[in-house]
Amino acid sequence: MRPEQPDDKREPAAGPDLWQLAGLPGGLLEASYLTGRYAAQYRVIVDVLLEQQQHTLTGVSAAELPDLLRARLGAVGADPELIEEANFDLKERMGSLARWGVIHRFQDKALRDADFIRDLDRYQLTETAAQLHRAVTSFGQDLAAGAAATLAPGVLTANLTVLRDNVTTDPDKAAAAWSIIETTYQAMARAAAGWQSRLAGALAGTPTAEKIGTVQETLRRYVDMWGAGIDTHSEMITTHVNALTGLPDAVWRRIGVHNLGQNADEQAIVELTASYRRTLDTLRAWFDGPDCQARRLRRQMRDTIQPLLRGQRTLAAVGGHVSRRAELLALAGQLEAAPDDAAAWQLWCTATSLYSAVHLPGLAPAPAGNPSASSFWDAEPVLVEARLRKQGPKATTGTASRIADNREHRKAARDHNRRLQQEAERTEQAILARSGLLLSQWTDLSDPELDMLLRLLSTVAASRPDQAGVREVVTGDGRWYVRAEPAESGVPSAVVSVNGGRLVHPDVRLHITATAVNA
Amino acid sequence: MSRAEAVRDAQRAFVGLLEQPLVTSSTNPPLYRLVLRNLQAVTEFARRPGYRIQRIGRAVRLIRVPVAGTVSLPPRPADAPGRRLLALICCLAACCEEVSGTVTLQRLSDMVRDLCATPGVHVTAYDPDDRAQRRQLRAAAEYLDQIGVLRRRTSDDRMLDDWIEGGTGPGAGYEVDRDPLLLMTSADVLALALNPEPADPDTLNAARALRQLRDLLELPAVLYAGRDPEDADLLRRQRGFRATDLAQMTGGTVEARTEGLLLVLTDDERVPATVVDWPRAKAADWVALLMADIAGRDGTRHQDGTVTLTSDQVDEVADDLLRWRGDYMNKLQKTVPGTVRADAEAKLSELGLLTVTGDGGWVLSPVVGRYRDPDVTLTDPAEPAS
Repeated sequence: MRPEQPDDKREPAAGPDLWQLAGLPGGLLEASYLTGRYAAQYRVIVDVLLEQQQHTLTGVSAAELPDLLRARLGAVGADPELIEEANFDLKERMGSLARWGVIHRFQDKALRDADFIRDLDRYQLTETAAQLHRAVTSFGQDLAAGAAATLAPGVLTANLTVLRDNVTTDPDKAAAAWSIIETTYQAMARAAAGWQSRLAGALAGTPTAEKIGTVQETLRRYVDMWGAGIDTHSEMITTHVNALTGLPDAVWRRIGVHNLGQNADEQAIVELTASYRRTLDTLRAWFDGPDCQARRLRRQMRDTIQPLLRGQRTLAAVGGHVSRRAELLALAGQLEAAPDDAAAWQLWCTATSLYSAVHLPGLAPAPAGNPSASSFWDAEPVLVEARLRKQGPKATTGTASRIADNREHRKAARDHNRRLQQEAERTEQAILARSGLLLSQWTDLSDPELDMLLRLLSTVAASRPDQAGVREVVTGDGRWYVRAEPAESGVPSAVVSVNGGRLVHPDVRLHITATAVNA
Repeated sequence: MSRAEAVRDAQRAFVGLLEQPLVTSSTNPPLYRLVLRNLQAVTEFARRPGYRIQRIGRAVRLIRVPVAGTVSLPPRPADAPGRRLLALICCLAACCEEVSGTVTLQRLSDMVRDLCATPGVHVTAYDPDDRAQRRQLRAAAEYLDQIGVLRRRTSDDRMLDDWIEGGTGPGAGYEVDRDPLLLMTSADVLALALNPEPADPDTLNAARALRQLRDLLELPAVLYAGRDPEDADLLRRQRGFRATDLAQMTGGTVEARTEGLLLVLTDDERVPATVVDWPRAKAADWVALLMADIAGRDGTRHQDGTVTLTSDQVDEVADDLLRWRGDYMNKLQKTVPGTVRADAEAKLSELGLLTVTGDGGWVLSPVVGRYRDPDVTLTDPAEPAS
């Protein structure tokens, strides 16, 4: 979780640096002029010195240097008077360059009196510095070299053929062909490395319009000129290289001797001969076999084409805005500043439209007539079959029994019960209202009333009368207290007409009162 | 393939994009193929409500360009990310931009921490040493995984758990997919959303039909009540046109009732993805269904079809349901008071059927009428709840 410490800030390890002791090449002192505070000044000076190398073998004198510098500044579009600036001290700059080994400083001979008071220094770039600066100035200029190298396979084939034909017979021609092969091969390798590094750079990280342009340009050049060349020439090159490698050392030695002259020392000849072999080996590595460098490069190029095309489409689709970072961060800030989660959600959805539409399930049957004239509450509802999972302990034996859906039944039963209850209440009220009447006076009995009366009478009949023949009884459910006075003697039985027929019973007088339980 | 089938395919693709606006060849291969096959028709469908189809590499995107700074937004899902998580998702996506290839959760976490600490970024600092925040980062990564920006390359959950619980190890390995990452946001839409242009009455008028079409496409139901009278009138008069449009674009039918309209999507083979799976065999779902049913009867119905209940009435309905069907509810619903009500409220609000007022009362949408008298059956636990 801790951030990594930057390399330079680490504590130096105790003891000598084993890497330095291992004799590995480290810093290049000559390159110091490229990195310091006055790098621009140093570089202009070195530019001028390098340019003058073509014109003079004895270097540039201190007297002419300022004019050359002015000319150079003018040529690159800067103000020539910059060298008059306070922090440009030519003498000191040259001193530093000499200290870093970039220039040799020597003095002209003083021939006249006047010479002794003039600055007679002359400057010449050291060999390393000249090479370094040539490399530095060639940055970004390999376009032309790359273009020349695209023809490499063809040139190589032609010259290998010449070399093979003449290697044993005409050392002159062979040497000429060899020199072309050598330079062509080097240009080709350099160009290929350039392409690869440029592609690698362009494909790494976020694509930008500039990077995609680079990839496109590189690929176009490669595909146009070299892509097919590999296939056409590989086989021929391989054949020639194999034939040439098989030649005895004596043949190569002869060419070497021819190149270096009769007086060349043995060491140089051996080295040159070995370099021929090395070059042939490298050529084989480049063109021989399915996994050779040239084919590998082509495969890499091919793999690049797809991301390139995608990149182009990407650019077209997003209108040039390839990075979303700033937008995303702005959105993040606003989201977090939202007053609540709901507001944040709304902002997120508006800004990204990453949300899902919601539709309700179920198709309701269309109502008759004009559907939009009926309400949701009146139209037929959607058929919903919601399945409830029964929670709780499972039955201990057998398969779990299905629980029937009794909802409707329960509802019906409840309604039914309620109705019965109401009816029973009505009946009881009606029966109570007849309390104290003789049975013969009970008229217009409804079925439920008859039902209750029969229950009462049967309860009464089951009880024991007192001396006066009066029976007093509490019904079995404890709700009613019934007192039946016996019929007077000689009175005919009461005939109560009911829906189902007639009820004939001694004409008793029934007193019915609710018990405390009932109340 | 017959022409009718081709049209049906295009409609399925369009509805698929309404559900999953960002689809890649790895997040949803069938839908991705379907959309690509019907790209022209889908683009045409999307143009009608003012949407845009964008395609980069192996990702396709439906962009709902806001009109007057708003989109037709359905009710917020109950599991929608909170604001902090949404902000983290943005930060994480911004970090993913700097990654090419693969990356570990640990590395992403460090990047988010550094990003939040960068001056000019107005997001609360992210502290990877806090377990709760690591959890949130995982949730953010999971979200990006869902939409295809990140693809998890390691399957070892223990590694992830170690990282969440102890902050040790790499967490999980992910691969960044740039195509969906680029499609996550688009500059113009973001500008419209973050700095909405002031609603000009003329613009609103011109966009009225567009917004009605969007509402019908995206929302569970479109009610006349609550719209401004002119808008409601226009919608009422043009419901025939809108229904034709929607039938062409989605293959669905419009259910028109006195109170409003709603788009019904059905398919002979499968239920379209935007149709919510409700009620599922879950206690919360059927509690919501039954509560809505009873509340629809007990409440006061108004002229516009809405039904209102006071908070006390809602409690009564919940008590009634608990007494009646309590045996079948889950333990939480049975034992913790208020769970039944909360479950029903969450579910119904998510469906857009219910609005809970400030004092706890209920306003049921007229659309609840579609689900009255549900046929509820019971299954035993041995039967898999699907």
